[in-house]
Amino acid sequence: MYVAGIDIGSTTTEVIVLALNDSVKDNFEITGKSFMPTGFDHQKTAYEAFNEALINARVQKNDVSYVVATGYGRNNVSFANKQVTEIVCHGRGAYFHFPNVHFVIDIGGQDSKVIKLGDKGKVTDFSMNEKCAAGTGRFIEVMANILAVELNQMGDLSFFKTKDIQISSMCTVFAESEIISKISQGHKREDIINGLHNAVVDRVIPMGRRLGFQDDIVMTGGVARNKGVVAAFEQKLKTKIHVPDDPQIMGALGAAIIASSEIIRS
Amino acid sequence: MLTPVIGWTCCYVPEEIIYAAGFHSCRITGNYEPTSIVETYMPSNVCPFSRNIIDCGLQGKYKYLSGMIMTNCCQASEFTYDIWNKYIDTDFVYLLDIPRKINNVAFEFFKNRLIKLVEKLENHYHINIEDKSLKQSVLLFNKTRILMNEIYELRKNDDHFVTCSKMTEVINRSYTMPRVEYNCYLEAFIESQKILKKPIEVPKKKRILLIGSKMSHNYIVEVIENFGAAIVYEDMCSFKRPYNDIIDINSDDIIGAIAHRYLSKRPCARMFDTGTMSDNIANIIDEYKIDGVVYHVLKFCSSNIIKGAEIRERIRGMGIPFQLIEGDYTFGSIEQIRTRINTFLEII
Repeated sequence: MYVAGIDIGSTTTEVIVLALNDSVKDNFEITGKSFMPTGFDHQKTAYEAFNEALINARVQKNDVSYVVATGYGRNNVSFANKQVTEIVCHGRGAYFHFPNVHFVIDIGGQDSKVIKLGDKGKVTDFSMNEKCAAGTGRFIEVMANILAVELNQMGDLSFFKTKDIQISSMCTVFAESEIISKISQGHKREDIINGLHNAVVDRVIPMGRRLGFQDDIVMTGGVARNKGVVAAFEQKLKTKIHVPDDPQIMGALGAAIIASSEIIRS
Repeated sequence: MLTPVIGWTCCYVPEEIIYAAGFHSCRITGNYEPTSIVETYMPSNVCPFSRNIIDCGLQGKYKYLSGMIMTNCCQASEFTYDIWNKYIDTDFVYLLDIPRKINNVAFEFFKNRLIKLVEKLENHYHINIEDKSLKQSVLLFNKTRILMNEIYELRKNDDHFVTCSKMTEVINRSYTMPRVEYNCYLEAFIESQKILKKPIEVPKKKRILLIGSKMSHNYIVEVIENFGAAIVYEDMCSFKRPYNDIIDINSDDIIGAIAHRYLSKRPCARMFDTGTMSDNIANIIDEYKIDGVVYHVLKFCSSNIIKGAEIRERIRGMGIPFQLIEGDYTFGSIEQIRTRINTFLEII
């Protein structure tokens, strides 16, 4: 039996197909995956990403018994059986990989969230950035563009910093002008990137402190692929940050796991 | 001739005085539309409510106002007064000083400010505001308070439960309707609620307490209600808070009695507070068997954001889930708010 989770985020859409083994709880295998930019048309992206994951899993649409949708576009997936918020899904996905961890930092395209987990990966509390791009994936993307660097190089480059630079502006728009000033002042690109990563981290840590951050934290979402941001968190929080192999799919994985428990329940 | 209108923004403005002066009193609540011209006068990191009403004023939407009374309840409100006074064409614009502490000196001060307001109105409009008309006015507004308390008593009973969406509508009418008619409306509303036995299954729903900055539209309320929860109490300046305490009508010093009531009413976040606000909230949580608290703040509302930290600690200490949501007095960020509220209601 198969179930699927689909996460339509602000920037990217991910689908996970799980094969369930004999209705035994938590006994499943990831058989299909897909990943694409969300674009404008949520419905169309949902279909395309779902089909791609089905092909990847070598199953038919009818074989999938339950679909849970999450992310900003969760209400636009007509074939989903249930909608669950991405906060709950990221919690479940992170718990699956690291069952002993109680805090999740999830930084996606337009949101950053800190999630507190209780027993069995159940969300007990969370905090989230407000209507503002500071401290999100979009912030890093905009800055990569100004610095003429590929997004996926940002992490590695920051390790070559020579000195610490403070980026004081919280606002993405103001930070952009601040970066342009730094460039014209002749600062090294690597130093600026490192400063940017610290600015993101400084924005997220207070949200975690409000929930009572403890040691051992999982990081999910696209920004977790940026090693520089992860290192900045580790340095400032003085704790290990666990990053799953594929941090971006945690929402879709959590949605698929929720789908599997819905099947078992029924 | 139509009764001239005086507008007000803050629930520390005694409507009784406006009414006794022969004016129709109207709370100015803005329109939740995105702002267009306010940027010329106010930066974007100022209270979105203030920005919204100034924008409406600059667009000429408050031309019907003869006067406008604001308070120094917060810094944004003072800015609003400055800009209104200078750029919006209203005949009488007044800033009422409200002390932050509640003690005898403050009462005396506030009473003198109210006497000053009465004098200003008298001199500006060449009228005479007598104690008799003040008492009549107090009587009318006291009646509203009594009726409002009756509705809130009724709401405790699940069979006669009034949703928060409906309460928003009831309260919003109080901002515009003439007082005598409004009292009649409330009486009729109470009767209709007593007769109507509604199929609302409140006992099965999660019971939410809604607190924080002002809210004059139910778009956030609807997100909560549509997700299957019931808001059973609201503690905001735009809900019950202005209707909590009665003015002593038998007092020889009627302005003193008005000053006393307004200063010692259930405090807003702007007051110097030794824990009264969180005590009140703790009592409501017990009395209304609250399952979770939603704390709505307007962006840049320092008073409520800073007060929120203390209230959050208190509520979490009671083992009650607490969720902060930030509004910007527009409908723009509703999807973000929906994600927070859905998750919050999923986890409590």
